[in-house]
Amino acid sequence: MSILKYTCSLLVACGLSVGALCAQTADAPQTVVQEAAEQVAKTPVYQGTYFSVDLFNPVATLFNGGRFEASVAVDVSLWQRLFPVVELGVMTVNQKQDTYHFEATGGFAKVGFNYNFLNFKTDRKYDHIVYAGARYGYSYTGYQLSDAQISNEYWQESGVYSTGKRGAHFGWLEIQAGVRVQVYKSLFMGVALQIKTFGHYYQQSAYYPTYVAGFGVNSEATNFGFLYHLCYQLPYKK
Amino acid sequence: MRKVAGIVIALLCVLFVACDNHCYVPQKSMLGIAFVDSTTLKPLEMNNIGIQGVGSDSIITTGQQASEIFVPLKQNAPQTDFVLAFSRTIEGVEVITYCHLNVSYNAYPQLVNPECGCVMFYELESATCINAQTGEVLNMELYNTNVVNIERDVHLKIHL
Repeated sequence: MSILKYTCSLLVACGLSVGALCAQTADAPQTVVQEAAEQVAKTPVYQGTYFSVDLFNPVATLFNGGRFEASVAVDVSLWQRLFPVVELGVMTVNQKQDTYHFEATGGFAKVGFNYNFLNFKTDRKYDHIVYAGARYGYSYTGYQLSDAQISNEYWQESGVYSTGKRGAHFGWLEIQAGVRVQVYKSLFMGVALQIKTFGHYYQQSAYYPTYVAGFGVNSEATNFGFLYHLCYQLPYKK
Repeated sequence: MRKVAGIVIALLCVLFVACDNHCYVPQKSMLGIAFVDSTTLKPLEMNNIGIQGVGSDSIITTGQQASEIFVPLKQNAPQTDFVLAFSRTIEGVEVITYCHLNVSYNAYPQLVNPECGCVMFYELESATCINAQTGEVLNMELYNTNVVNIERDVHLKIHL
């Protein structure tokens, strides 16, 4: 009986020790999590609003066959990590060649976010960012092809054809990566590369515009773009 | 250093958008006709295929051994007729079939891109192939109704 009592006491003592040890171990990760949460809580959520205007594409009109495209963007800095962004733009094309005349006008909008990989500490001196992001783009393009000269050797046919005015709704996925640098106080400059893919029409149609506003050449499954933009940062309390 | 970097970036931008004047895609749209086994739906190779457009003096192809052929459609008419002849071996016997192929469609011009120019595309409405010897209508499937400038694209399937 005494042996039984001794054994039970020993088991209870072991159990209590293990329990105490587990409690102690459970406290350690909780402290680390608490510290991380406190650090995030100390970091201000809102860290500025940026208005950007692209300068590259309007200039590129001189080199891309007369396709004019311009866009502006607004993005907001959250924790200097996440930047929700909205872009709006327009496109006009008026290509008159010997064998065709193509006109198109359209507007586009993109919604997405950028993620900043560097320079996000609260005690940073400048608001430079190096980012990658994704967007969903939507556009409507009205277009018309006229004076199209087409010939057929086998049937010995030739003629001049027109499509009449048409329109198309289009969507696509876009990946963007870039750099934005604080040049002077609230003025920023940035460059970015765009990859536009997974293009899709909202309605099936035999006709399609050769150029899609915001996306580029329709016949390409993937289009690449380049941005050079000037940004203005709205003052905010740091 | 910053000036040099700026100049380099500007030059790269110009190169990036500079136009290449070559056309890298087909500049014609051709109707693709394939022969398939009606049971297995696998391509069926014909010993000999010949086809000529009705109203044209030229033969599109003759003596060709293949399971598919590609023909041009008229761009100034809502339909095109062909005389199609093909032969195959059935149980050791060569069987020659002549059929009158009629294809109706809507034609519309499309600017592919500035380098390639404009091409006539077609949206198929119907296609029939009538055996000239028996009057039987061959089993023809409208597989793809959009005839565009894609090389070796199949639009009609004749089930044998």
